[in-house]
Amino acid sequence: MKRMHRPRALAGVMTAAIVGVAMVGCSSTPGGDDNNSGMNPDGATVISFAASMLGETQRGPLLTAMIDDFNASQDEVVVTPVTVPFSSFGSTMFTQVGGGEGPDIIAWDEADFFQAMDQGLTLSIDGITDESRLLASSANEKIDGVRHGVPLNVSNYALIYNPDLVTNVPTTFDELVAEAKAQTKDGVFGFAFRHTEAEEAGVWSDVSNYVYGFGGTWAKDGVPTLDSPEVADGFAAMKELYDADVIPEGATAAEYRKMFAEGKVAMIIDNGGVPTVINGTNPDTPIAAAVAPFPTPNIGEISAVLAVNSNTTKADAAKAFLSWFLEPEQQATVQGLLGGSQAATEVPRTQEELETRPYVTVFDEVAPHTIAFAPEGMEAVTPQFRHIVVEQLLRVFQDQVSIEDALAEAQKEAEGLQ
Amino acid sequence: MTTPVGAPPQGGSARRRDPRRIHGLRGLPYLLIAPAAIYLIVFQGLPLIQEFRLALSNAKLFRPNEFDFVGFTNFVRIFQDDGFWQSVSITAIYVVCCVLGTVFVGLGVALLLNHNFAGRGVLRSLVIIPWAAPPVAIALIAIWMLDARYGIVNRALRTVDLAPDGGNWLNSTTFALPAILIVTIWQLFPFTSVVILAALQSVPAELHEAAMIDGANNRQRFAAVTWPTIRPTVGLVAILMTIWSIRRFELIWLMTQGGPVGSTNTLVIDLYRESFIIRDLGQGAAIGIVGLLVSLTITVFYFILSNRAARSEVTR
Repeated sequence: MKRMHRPRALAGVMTAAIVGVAMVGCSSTPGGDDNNSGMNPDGATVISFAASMLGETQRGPLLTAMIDDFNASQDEVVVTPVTVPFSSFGSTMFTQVGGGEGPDIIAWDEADFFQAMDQGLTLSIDGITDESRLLASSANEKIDGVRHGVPLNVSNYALIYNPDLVTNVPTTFDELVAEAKAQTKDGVFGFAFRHTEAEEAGVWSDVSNYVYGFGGTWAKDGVPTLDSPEVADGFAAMKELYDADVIPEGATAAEYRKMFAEGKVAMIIDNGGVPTVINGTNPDTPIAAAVAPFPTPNIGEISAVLAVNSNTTKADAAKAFLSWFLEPEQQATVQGLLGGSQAATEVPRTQEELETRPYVTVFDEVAPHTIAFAPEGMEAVTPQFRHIVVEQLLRVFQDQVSIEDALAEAQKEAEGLQ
Repeated sequence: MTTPVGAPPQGGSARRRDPRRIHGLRGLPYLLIAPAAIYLIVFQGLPLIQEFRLALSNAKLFRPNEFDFVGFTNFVRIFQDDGFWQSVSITAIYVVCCVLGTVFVGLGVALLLNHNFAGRGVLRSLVIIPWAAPPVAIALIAIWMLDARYGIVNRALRTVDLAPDGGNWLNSTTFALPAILIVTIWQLFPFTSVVILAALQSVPAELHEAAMIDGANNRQRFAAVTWPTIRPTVGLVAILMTIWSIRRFELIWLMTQGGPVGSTNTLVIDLYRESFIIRDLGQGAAIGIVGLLVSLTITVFYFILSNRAARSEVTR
C-alpha cells in the first residue's frame, strides 16, 4: 500500500478540521434547544421566563417556588427560570431578542417594555384574562387597543421612615428638610436618594417623584414639558436636600437601603417593594410609611411588565403560564411576596399582612395619584429622555449650571427626540 | 579556500529549489497559516466590516439586522455633538496620563528591580500581582478604598487634613478622573516594569564597565548606555499602553460609568452607552470607527518614527 505523504496527510487533517469547525458553526439551532423541538423527554413544552426579581434574595426564591408550583400543577408546559441582574437586564434582553432569540417570557422594566412593544418585540396576549380584573394602570400596556403586557408587580412610591428615629412625620416639604437636618447626627443620615451617574435609572425614578410631587410632568402628548415651572420646582427641592448635607454622599441605593436597615438612615422616598428588601437585610428594622410630603399627591410608580417574546415558537405555552399566573389564587401569592407593591390585579390585603406590615396601606392609598416614569407620548424614547434629564440634574447638583439653564438645555435636547 | 558567507552551497545540492515548494507540497505554507488567517478573518475582519456597515446605518439594538443606510449621518451627528468632543478630550487626557504614568513608574521600578539586593526575587513576584488581578476586582476594591465614609484613603487623608470636600472622589468632577488614573496606573505599571526589566537585562555589562572607567556617573551611564538599548522596548510598551488605554472599558465603567456629568466619559464608554443604553447601534459603531482610526493613526505614526530612528541609527 502506498503511504500517504506526511505533508499531504497533515493538509488533509487540517482541511477536515477547518470544514468541521465551519459545520459546527453552522449547526447551532435558534433558541438553543438541544433537540430543536422545545420539548422535554416527557413531551412537555419547555419555555423560559426571565425576570431580574428571580435573582433577588427575598423575592427570588418565592417567585421560583411559584414557577415550581405551576410546573407541578400540569404536565404540558415546563417553565424554566432565567436570572439576569437588574442593572444589565434591559441591555441583555434587547441584545438577545434583537438577535432573534431570548427567553419566551420576559419581565421587562416598564420603560424597556414600552420600547420593546413599540418595536414589535412583544406578541399580543389579548384574551388571556378578564380585562376588568387588571389594575387601571395596566391600560398603558396595550398598543392599538391590543394587550401586549401585564404587570408582574406595580410599585408605588411613598415616604418610608424608621419610626424609632422619626417621631415628627413630615407632611410638607419644608418639614421634610427640617426633619432630615434634625436627624443627621451621630453617624445617622436624615435622608437618602440616588445621585450618581452610575445609577442613572434610579436617579430618574427619584427625580421623577419630586417633579410629579410638585405638579410637573416630563411630557404631555408627546411634547416635552421640561421647561415648566413645576419641573424647576421639583429640581429645586431635590437640590435643596442635596445641598443640606443630610444624605450619605456617594452611597448607592443598595448601600443606603442597607444603612436604613442598620438604623443609619432615617427617611427615604422609595417604592413599596423596598421594605421587603430592608427587612431582608435586617428583619428587626422598624418600618413605617407616609404619603410623600409634596405639594400635590402625585407620585411615581414603577412596574415590571410580563410580555411574550415575539421570537418564541411556543406562544401558546407562554400564554398558558401567564393565564395561570393571573388567576386569583396566584395573584394572592404574588401580592404576598411583593410586600408593599401590588400584583397585576386587585387583591385585598389579608388581615395577617395588615398586622405584620401595616405600612402597605399607604402604598395602596397613593395608587390613584400615581404616574408612570415614562414621559407621556414619548415612552419609546425613555432611555434617551432619561439620560438628558439625569445629566442636567447632576450638572445642577455639581453647581455647574443653574436650574433654569439646565432645564432649557434639557428641553432643547428632548425636543430633538420627537 | 573558504566559502563566502551567503554564497550558494557547492556541488549537487546547489540545484535551485522553489522556496514555496517544501517536500513536494507547494501550498503547505498557505495551509499552515490558514487557521490563523481564518481566525483573523472570522473574528476580526468580518466584525470590522459589519461595524463599518452599522456606522453607515440607522441600526438599533432591538433590530440589528433591519436597517437603512444613512451615509455619513452618524458621523456628522457625533462631530456636531459637544459631548463627543468632551469624550475625545477626556480620552486624550486619560491616554496621555496612563502612558506617561505607567512608563515612568514602570521604568523606575524596573531600574530598582535590576539592582542586586536581598529579596529581589520575592519583590519581582509581588510587583506583578496588580497586573494579574482581574480589573473587576481592582475596581471594586478601589471603590471601597475611595468610599466617602468608610474608605481607607479618606481616613488617611483626614488625619492630615488633606481629604477633599465631602471625600467623595468618584462623585466629584474634579477628582473622579485623577482617581481612575491612579487606579489604572497602579494596575498597569507591573506590565511595563517587567517588560522594561527584561530589556535592562540585555544591556551589556561591559558597556557599563567601560563607561565607569571613562568616569561616567549614574545619570550619564543611563543616558549613554542604558537608554539607547531599552528605547525600542519602551517605545513598544508605550504604543501598547496607548492602544490599551484608548479601549479600556471595565475599570472606568465599574468605577463611574463615565460620570459625574461626563467627567470620565471616554470614547469607549460613549460607544457602550450609545449602543447598549441608548440602543443606537449605528451611532455606537460610528464612535467605534473614530476610536479605531485614532488608534490606527497613532500606531502608524509610531512605526514611521521608529523606522526613521532605526535608519538614522544605521547611518550613524
